[in-house]
Amino acid sequence: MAQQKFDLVVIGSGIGGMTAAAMAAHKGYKTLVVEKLPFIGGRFSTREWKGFKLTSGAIGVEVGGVMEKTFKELGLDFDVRLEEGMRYRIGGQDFEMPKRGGLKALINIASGDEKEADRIYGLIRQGWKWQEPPGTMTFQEWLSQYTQNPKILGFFQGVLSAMLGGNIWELPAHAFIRFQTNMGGYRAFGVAPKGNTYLMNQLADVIRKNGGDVWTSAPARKVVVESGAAKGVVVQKNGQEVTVSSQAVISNAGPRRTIELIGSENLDRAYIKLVRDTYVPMSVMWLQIASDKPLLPYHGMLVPAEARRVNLINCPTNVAPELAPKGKSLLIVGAAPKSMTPPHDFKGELELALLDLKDIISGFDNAEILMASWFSGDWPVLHTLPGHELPNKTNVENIWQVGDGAVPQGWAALPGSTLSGRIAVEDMERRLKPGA
Amino acid sequence: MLKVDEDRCVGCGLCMPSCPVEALRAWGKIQVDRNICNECLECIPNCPVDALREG
Repeated sequence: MAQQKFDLVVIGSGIGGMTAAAMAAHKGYKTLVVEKLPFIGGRFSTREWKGFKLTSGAIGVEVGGVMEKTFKELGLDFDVRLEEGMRYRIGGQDFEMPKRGGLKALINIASGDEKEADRIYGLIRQGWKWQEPPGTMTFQEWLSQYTQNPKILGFFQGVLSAMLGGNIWELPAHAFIRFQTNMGGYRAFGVAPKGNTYLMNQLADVIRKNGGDVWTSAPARKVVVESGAAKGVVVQKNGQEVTVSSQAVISNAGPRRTIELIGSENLDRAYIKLVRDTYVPMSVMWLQIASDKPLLPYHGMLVPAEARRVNLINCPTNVAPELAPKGKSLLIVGAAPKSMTPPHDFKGELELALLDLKDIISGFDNAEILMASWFSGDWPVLHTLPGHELPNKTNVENIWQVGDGAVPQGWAALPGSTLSGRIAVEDMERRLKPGA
Repeated sequence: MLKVDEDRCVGCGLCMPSCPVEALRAWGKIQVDRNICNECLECIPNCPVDALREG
């Protein structure tokens, strides 16, 4: 069995793993990334199909947030083209969220009753400024104490579904509050005109330039644990098993797979129970649609707040025509199923999503649906249900978890995953020195 | 012959671009157009949840 030695092995090349690996390499740790798939990026990758550059997951890239900060620190080209702000469709009209007092203004539009809007906004503000609602009830149960107005409930369903990927009858009451207080919401969105892979390849270059490497088609088989600490990873490479010894391991493989890799015999039962009880990978339906003309007039996302299923629509080719063949346009649509966990009724869910699109988009009937896919189960839209975040450590020392299954409280999606990578490396620096 | 394990497949479509003859399409679960598929099996390693097999 072949042997190799690194300071750090990162399992999985999603944005959390690649952020951690590039930051560690930049700080002098000899770093190896092992990726099971033949390409890097996970759900932040780009795959070409019929001349389209299709995202493997992320619908937009946050601009002005932790990912841009990371790229600047590493001296990389954060090539992301800014989109306009999000618009919300309420009562058949599209509204931009004003920079100040935006949420209050939109509640007012949805409600049509200024007094009620003031009262409901006051509750949200109280959550931000004084005390968050408990996580023991859903957002819908919590809000229903204060209003039964279906227009307000419908508006919040649209907003929470778009921002956090879940339904108000499933997300805990505090998730939306923490998303604002801890993460600060999303700043602005953009699209990577050369594809997400262009960004990921730069992180891979940082790793290689600093003495590390990135292996694709190289699945991790197990984490080597000795005396309660991670000592390396066994990797399948070119048909043989390679033992890579290391001071530290960072897993971007998701909580369930990480338990398998560490081995439940090495783990505290309380952690396994925590994962069993609280780990809820979330589903979303995802449509990628081609057309001759742009199906959305906006250079930014639309949240159809009162739709049946569709929660987010983006026409990335309006700002980045490079993503489609000449004369073609691409539309990406997210739709939250009735339940965010499987099994799903694909036909029924698709039918409702298509009814939404016919209502929202004129000329939709002439479009070509390239794919109607799911993110679900072990390849979910988010590994963590917002409000039920898992810790990034277990009892086994010197192995950290990153990615959307290990985000800090209140954080989600790309910014949360990126931050989880940075946090793991900062913690590693306090314990382990490069080359030791 | 290419087999899709319907229990494992989540229908993400990540395998689609790996097919040189465009025989795969995500439509709920992944659909294989048997008239086009040439059994090259290049898609198999592109599945993140190990749902594609030779069988």
